[in-house]
Amino acid sequence: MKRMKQAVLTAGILLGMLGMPMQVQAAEYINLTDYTEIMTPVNGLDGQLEVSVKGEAGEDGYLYIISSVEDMAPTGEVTGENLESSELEAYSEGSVNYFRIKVKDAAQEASVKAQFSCPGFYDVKEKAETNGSAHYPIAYKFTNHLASKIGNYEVMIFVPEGNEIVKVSKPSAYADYILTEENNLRGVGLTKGLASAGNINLEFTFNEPFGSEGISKVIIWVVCLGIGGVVLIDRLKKANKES
Amino acid sequence: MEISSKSVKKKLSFEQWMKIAGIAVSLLVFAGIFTMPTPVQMTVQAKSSLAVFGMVFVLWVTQAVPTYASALVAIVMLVFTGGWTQKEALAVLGQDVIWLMLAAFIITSGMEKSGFAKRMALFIVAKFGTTARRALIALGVVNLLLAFVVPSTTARAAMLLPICLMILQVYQAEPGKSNFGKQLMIQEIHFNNISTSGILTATAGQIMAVSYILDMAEVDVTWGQWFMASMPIAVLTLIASFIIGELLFKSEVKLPPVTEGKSASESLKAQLKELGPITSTEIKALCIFAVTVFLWATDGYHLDLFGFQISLVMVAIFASALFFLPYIGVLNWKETKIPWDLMVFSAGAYAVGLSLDASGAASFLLNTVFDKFNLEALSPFALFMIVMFVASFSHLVFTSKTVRVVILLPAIILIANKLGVNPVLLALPASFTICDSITLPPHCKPNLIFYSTGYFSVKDQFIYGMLVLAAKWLIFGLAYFTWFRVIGLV
Repeated sequence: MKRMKQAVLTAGILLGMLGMPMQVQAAEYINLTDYTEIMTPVNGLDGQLEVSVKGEAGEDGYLYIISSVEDMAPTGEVTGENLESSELEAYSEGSVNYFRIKVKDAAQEASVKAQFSCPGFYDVKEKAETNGSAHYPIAYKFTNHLASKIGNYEVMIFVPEGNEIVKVSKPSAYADYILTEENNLRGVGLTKGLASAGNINLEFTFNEPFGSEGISKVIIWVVCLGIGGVVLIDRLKKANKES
Repeated sequence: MEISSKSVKKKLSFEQWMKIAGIAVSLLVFAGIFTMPTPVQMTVQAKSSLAVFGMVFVLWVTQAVPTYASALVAIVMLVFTGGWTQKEALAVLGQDVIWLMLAAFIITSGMEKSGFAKRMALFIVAKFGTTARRALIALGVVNLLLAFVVPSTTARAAMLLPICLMILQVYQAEPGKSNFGKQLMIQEIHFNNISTSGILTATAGQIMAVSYILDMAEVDVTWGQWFMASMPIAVLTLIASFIIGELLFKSEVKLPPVTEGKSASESLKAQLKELGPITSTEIKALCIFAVTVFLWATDGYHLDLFGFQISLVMVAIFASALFFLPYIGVLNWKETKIPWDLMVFSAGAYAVGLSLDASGAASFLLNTVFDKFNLEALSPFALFMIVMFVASFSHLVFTSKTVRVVILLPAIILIANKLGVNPVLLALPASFTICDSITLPPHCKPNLIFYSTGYFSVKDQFIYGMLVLAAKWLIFGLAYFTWFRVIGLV
């Protein structure tokens, strides 16, 4: 009995060791030219992430999508070119989660476009500054967990309708981020090449605009016209008196 | 028969109208920008920053409120509207440009108190100013030399004003009538401002410009490099100013009239003699200055000379510290004339400028404006000349050197980067035009100081100034193909 247990244990270890190189080789040798993520608000506080990946699959014949948002789950149809199946399969490697899809001809370039639901993506707490109004912060980080570089990574995050991008903290330089508007939604994003293990950080705040519509706009104009008018009349009177 | 006298109402001048309407217009500008729909390529932060800038710009130009007040309003409004954070806005007061200004005013106070600057001025003029033309040239040279040791255009103007007035009295030049008086006074403005452009540390706006070039173009322009590039331009412009002055205001006198009193030369020599032998206070001031100018002039070689680098601002703070130390210094705090209103204004103006850049508002404006022009199609020389023209003549719109720097320098560097042109090629020569505010009295304090003597009219100054700046612009064009190539700027 004791010997049998030892044999089973040894066999198990050996099998485990045989299995490991296969897991390490997963997601290696992939050449991705384009990787695009577009986050759009849906149903209030939820987000829908559309991911498009284009490139050559790895030796394992899969194209990988990195699970960059917590609780993201595939929804809807998966489309693309040179794909063997139309369904994504969840896959993990250590603590990193992926979705992957089998490619028909690994020697040819393939592309996949998939939608993911991201519940509660826009459900963030208002963050108050030391002075001024509070705003909703979004801090988005994407890490290239793939073994090879991504030629061109692009991310665009749209904010709920009626909201505007208040401030972009990262990247800090205006030239390093893009502001856009599509379908009445304001968005901020960036594009850059990403080396393996490279990451991008996109941090910004959004909120409904203060002062450019509604009662706040009226208040600002009333105050400015009121003070301006009073000062103008007073100074005119004084100047006429002096002259 | 009684003649009823009608009371004649004086018409309000343009400057008075600006002061009357300034606050109202500034609030309208703020409201207009802040409440407009945010453009797609702009964040709310950038819009807020632009709204605050628009508001204080009107206040600065119209002088409807004191500049220090509008600067504080700028900081408050920037923070309240989200144009910038409190931390960033307040940190401006700790920027090296502010410390450099503080140190510069301490050095100026030390110079004034010691009397060394006055001695130098009197010596040169007494030696070299014995005819009208020589007096003009001598005063110009004094102005140029003082720019090395007195980093304040206002202080230099205040220092030379009594000497100028004394010379004009001796020549019996009548205010408003004498061509010699017009040429001398306006030329002092030109020499004060244009010689300043040859020395980096001679005015805070230039130090601020170099700071922008370092922050945005990542190029450190040393004192020596600035001097090499700018001083030849300045000298040629001053020669042009002298020639144009001789043509515009042909002097009615060539030699000082002989009177019962002394001649100009004797008066000046007498004043110099009255100063007595050089005092220990002057020697101390002279030594501190010698060290300061040496360190500024050699700031590109400190590592080779000393094994460590001393920045421009630390040299200034070091010099100002020396002025206060026992045994070495000549000053105490009560004797130090620091214009805190100017310091606060500089902090506020700098904060607004930096926030425009940090928020992307400046880039947005620039992209919007220059998308209208086909700058890409211009040759590098044409682009250079257009930028120099705008940089120089923009002083007509922007009365403050600081405001011009915070608006133009970032914009010029962004244009250069966008067009793939070396940003230093455009930004550095543009910085040499910071002191080109020579056309109208309100444009800077030296203008006001000399204008207040009554020797020339606004029209006199405007025409003379415009012609000199046109000459300077042409000199820039010449330098593009000659001197700037020699020093490697082109």
